[in-house]
Amino acid sequence: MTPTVATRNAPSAPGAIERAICRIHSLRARAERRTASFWGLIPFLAFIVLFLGVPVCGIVLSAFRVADVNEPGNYVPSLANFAASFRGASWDAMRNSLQISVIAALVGGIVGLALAQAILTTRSRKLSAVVTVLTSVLANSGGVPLAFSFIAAVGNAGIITGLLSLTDRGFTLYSSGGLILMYQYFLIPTMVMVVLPTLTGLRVEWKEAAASVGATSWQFWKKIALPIASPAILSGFVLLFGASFATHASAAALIGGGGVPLISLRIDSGLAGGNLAGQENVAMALGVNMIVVALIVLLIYMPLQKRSLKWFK
Amino acid sequence: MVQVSRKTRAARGIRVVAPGLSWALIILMALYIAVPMLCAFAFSIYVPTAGFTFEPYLESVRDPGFPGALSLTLLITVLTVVGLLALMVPTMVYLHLRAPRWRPIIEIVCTIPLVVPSIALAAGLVTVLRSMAGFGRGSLPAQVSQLLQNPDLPVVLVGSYIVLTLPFVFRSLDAGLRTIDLRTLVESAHSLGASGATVLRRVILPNIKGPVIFSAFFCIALCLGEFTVAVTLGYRTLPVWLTQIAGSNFRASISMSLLINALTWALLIAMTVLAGRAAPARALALKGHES
Amino acid sequence: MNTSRRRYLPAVLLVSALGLSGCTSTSNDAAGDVDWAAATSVETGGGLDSLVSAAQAEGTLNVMGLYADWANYGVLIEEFTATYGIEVDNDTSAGSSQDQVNAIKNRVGQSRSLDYLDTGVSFANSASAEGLLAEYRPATVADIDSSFTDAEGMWTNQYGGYVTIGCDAAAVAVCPTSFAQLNDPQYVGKVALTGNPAQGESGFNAVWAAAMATGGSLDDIQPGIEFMAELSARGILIPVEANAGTLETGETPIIINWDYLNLAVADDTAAAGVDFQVVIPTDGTMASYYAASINADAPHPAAARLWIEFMYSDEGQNILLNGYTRPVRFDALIQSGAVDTAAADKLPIVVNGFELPSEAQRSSANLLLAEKWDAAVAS
Repeated sequence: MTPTVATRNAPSAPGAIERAICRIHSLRARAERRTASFWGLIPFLAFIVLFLGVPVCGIVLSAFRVADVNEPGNYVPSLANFAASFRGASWDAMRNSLQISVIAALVGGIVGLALAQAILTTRSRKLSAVVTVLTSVLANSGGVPLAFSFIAAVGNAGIITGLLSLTDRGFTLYSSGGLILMYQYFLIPTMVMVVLPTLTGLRVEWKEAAASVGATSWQFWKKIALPIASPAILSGFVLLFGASFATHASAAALIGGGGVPLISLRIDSGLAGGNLAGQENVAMALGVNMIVVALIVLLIYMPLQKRSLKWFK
Repeated sequence: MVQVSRKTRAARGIRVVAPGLSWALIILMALYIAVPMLCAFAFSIYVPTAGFTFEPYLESVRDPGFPGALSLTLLITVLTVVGLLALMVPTMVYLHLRAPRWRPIIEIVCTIPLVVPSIALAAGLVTVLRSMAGFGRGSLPAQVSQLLQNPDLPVVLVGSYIVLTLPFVFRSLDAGLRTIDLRTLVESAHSLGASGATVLRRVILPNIKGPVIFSAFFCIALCLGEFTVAVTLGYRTLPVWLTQIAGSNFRASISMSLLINALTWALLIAMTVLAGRAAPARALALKGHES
Repeated sequence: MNTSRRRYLPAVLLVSALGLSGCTSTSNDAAGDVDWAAATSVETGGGLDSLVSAAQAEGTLNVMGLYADWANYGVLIEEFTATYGIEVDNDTSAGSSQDQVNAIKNRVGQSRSLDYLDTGVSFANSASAEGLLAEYRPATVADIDSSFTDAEGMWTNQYGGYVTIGCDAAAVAVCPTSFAQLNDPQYVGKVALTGNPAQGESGFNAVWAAAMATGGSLDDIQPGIEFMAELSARGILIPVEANAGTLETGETPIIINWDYLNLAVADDTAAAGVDFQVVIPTDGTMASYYAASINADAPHPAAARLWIEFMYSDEGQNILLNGYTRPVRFDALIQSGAVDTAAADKLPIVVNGFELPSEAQRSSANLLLAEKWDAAVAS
């Protein structure tokens, strides 16, 4: 095979033909490498198609179907589900969910970041060892037990409510604020889990090196530390947003009676049937809307991620 | 290896504020976590007319549905962890060694489960399985659908759980593999005559122990706590069973959920201690490489 | 002589062979060649004894969501198994009407599909329209008013309940007995439903009962929504989903729910010092009945039908009565004197009569509620 490098170092300038042959060979080699590299990923890709691709297709297809009025049991394609999802109460629920998720993610992200840094600053080995375990478990907490523990603590008849006279101060758990407060139980640990490894990697030497060339602490953070940590911070924020957006079991137990419309609750009831049969496909349409929203967030996140990652190249 | 001498400082990261303020924040967070849990615990052991009692804990364990739910959850947990590691570790190594151009695509694919709400994912699965069953008795799609949903070996649940862990596991393994000089390690091992499997087992795995352990932990915690997908697919795992008994004996269900939490913590801490004890010197030296 | 016998022998053999084969085929019929899956009642299937032996041959009954203390299903199942020796496989991982309908669609042809469904009437109607149910009427159907049965026999109501106000007398000074009374500052922060009315039967009917109390009707649920909105605005109605736990901690001492559920919770929480009193509101009455149906694709058709017969028998209906529900043959039981009087006395007194809403009224009320509820009670 014609070596591609040798022609570059040839004492005489290569002719056009040699250069063309060169390019073809290197292109072919690159293509071969890419196709060769593909085969090793087949098991993973097959798995993804089966357990992620197929269900998502299922959701999308269902969202575009409506029960045929003339022939029960059959379905016809229709945009009616989406039309319903953008109107009235469903649209309110979408807007409200978005608002709550963004605020919850911001609060969790900032507190989680501060907490991760605090854990590092303490330089306690026991703490670091335990943090991995704690964050893994807490990040997966939720459901009725979580809601109930908050009700027992800071509900209207809660233990802490009595001790600190919270109701007199105008606090109520059964509001968007209460929901955001409860969400932090799993959001903050998730943020710590994502961000701590990266912050651990920030070397003291870098700070010293920056100081030795005259950078202030603030400049060090702004120009060096934050850019390096930002991929993880961004990931964390996206994760937190997705987690708040999708939470429904604990939210239902807390404010299921009404008053804080959430899209995840509407999907849950549509699928579990509620009072009317046949609402499933509208719930699927809501699900598709949620996925689209989350994809938009992802699309914003990816270019930002790329910019941050160039520090690692 | 140059890092060894600086291990104690490099491993710790940068100080931003005085340790005192940091401890204050940590204690505040610890309170936030502990207080609701303690209130729930107080509820679980105190019955107004009977005083303090651990009876609800015993009732929850004695419920006839408990052994079945527990064994199903344990089975699923073991299968999911093994499946996850068997799938992801070779894939990530392969990705970094041979197919780096595919990395961005795989990253996007692994982040998608984050943006698909689990309830929608479960609903999609049910729809597909139902339409497969709709092909009629004995047909191939119906048989595959039945196989996937086999109540004794719910492949569909294991697969879904692996998908749910992907965003976290990908990130962790990816970062871990990026910080070690994978190519050099593998090439030197090959040049010394090691086979592919040996390289994976004795050269790569020890160097990414941190991410692998984290992935296993996260997976275990997920399997023990995941409710939505399990209930939509109709499997009585531990969290689903808990919700059920809440209807008839609420106190017992709260007791059991606290118990499961405590046991998960104990299990994972035990695993941490064991893992740390297995290779202490290497763990210390590599602390600088952890990310 | 030998020749003449030998001449008749083939004829004799033929006749006896025909006779014997006739005997064996009738005995096969008796053993259960009857296709119970197509039987629309006990009589047309061949009688109760035949049904019992066919069901016992099948050996199992698949059901879903029949929780032990929901309408006393626990005891019903136990008695059924004790009487007939048929095992009941009760899948309690899910239970809502939609879950059951999904299960029979998802498990077509599987041996773990469901035999019997207990769903809301809307779901039974839509499942029937999709051809998922089998036509069957219990033997005692003569006692049941036609408004409690499907015109095509695809389902029959089996038990129902009234909307009630449950109140913890140990925690509340004066327990309310009507919706009008609820609207009072002394109840701020104390009243809750058990789910979103747009998404669950009990909340839905609670709002409808409130509508009855405030000038609404089966065609007009709007006054109910407005009433609840006012309660919520004044802080009387809180959005948390009430359960035994929130009752015990004092979070939700007043719960609006079905009588059978409130009475069951009263029993569960009595040990914790809760004195839960359950009354039907004097100014607004709303009732709802559940529908029993059989899967057309039931893996155990005879067992399913035997279960139906058991449930509509005097014994079955009394067991349901003991679960605090109102069995559909309640009036017939009282007239014949077969009713379990101790259990009947525990039910709250019905002051006004009620009408069952039609399908059209239900869906229009539901659609209105789905649109208006969250905005109405927004905090």
